[in-house]
Amino acid sequence: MVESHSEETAAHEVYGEVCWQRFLRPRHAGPPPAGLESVCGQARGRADDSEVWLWLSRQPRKAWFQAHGSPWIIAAADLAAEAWQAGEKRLSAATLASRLDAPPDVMDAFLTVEDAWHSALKILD
Amino acid sequence: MNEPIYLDYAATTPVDPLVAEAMAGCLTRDGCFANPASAHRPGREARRRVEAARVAVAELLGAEPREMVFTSGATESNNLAIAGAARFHRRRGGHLITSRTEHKAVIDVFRRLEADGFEVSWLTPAESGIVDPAQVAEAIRDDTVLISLMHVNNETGVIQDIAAIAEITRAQGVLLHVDAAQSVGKLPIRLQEWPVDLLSLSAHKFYGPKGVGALFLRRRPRARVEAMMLGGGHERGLRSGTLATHQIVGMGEAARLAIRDMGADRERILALRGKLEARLLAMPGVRLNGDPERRVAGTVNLGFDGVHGEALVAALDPYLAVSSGSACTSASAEPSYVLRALGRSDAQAESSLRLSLGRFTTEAEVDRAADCIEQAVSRLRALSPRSLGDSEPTPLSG
Ligand SMILES: Cc1ncc(COP(=O)(O)O)c(C=O)c1O
Repeated sequence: MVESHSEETAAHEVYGEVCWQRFLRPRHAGPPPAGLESVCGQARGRADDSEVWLWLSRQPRKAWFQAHGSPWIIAAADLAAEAWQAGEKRLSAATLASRLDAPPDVMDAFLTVEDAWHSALKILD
Repeated sequence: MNEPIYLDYAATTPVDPLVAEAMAGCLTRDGCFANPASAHRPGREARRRVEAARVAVAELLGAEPREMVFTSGATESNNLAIAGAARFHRRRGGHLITSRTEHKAVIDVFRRLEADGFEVSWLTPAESGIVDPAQVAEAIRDDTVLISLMHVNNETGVIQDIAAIAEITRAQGVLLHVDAAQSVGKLPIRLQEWPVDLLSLSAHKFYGPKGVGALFLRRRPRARVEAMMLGGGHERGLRSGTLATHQIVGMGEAARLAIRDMGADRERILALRGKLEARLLAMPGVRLNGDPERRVAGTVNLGFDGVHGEALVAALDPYLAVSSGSACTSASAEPSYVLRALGRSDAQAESSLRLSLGRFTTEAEVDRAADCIEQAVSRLRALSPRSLGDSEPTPLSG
């Protein structure tokens, strides 16, 4: 209930520095600019009340995301977009979790992003 | 990092410096530390201070000092009042009434009584959070012994019409208990006019210390309860245990300050809340939870459409100490059962915030809090694929 702030730790400690910085300042947020939409593979991942959209384009090699969810999912989506732009072809939930230094119980967020990544790639191919 | 702005006065308040001073006088060897039950002179002095506190707390409620029993807080008072009265009157009947939006310290007592064979009617308030006195009248049966309803809701600040409900329960010969933890010291309580039988309060909600409170038990007609804390027979046998002089004296001082400052505090806090509320409600997709008019001065509960609850709480955490519409910040937190009972969806309940202002809140704090919330909400909405006001996922091919 509302009274208890059961977590004594500050938010940036709960989510860890890497996730926290991306949550505050994601670099790839927003849908692609109008002209590029058509060349994108766009896909959505969903889990419970969370949702992520990912747009991947080959030419130019770019990526964008939008997300409705916890700081984990927002940070993971941003990281996934960055990974694509850096030329990575495979991305797993486990990789996202380890790059964000996440505890095991938030795996759902990463599986959702992984899901969107795979669907977007399939559409691109 | 700067301390976050404290807008969680409904959870607890800081002790007023004058209260702290009065308490400090009751702790050490050079102070009034003796056991108030002792017959010697220092004991009698402690007793005198405890009784002066009893007078102040009674005056705050319009009650007689003899009607006050000191406890460890509203949780204990609720337990003693509800379980104590239900058990005392067991032979008269086994039907009890309460609402779905009570504090856990009431709900869980009724759940236990249900497990013990009592039958409980759970009233659902209107969407505004208000329980219609007619609902209460309808729920009363021949075997109803006790009704418990809160005066002010801790999440929404909504005020129940206790005077009207008390008229009904008195006419029907049913006991009425009121959890007034969120109203004492903030709203006038008129127990000489309202036929309420039992009333709970906690000192830390009105600038007194944590861990002390009181239960009002009416003398005429006499409200009877079965004691739960047994021992030395303190507090007329209703609550044994050495009286915590410093705590009680602190609560007495807080009551005196409340009597003196309640009106002025209320005006000032209402103006600040009005400002905060006006700014936040001017944003699109922001909803007030609870009745807009019948609300205690300090509290405002707002729902932010299209914003994820966990992300909102996290984004505000460095700047504001506020309470969210879910139990805690962990992913598995349950959405507020109070907002759910008022018809909000899980997602709406989770993306709600309770902001509560108090005696030490400043205009600068309110301005800054509004800035922080506006920024966090706009940023999260810009990130979100969901359109405003649409809490369902948006369809998308692929
Ligand atoms: C309405 C209500 N009742 C009861 C309580 C319990 O008070 P305490 O924790 O001081 O026993 C609270 C405070 O959390 C409250 O807001």
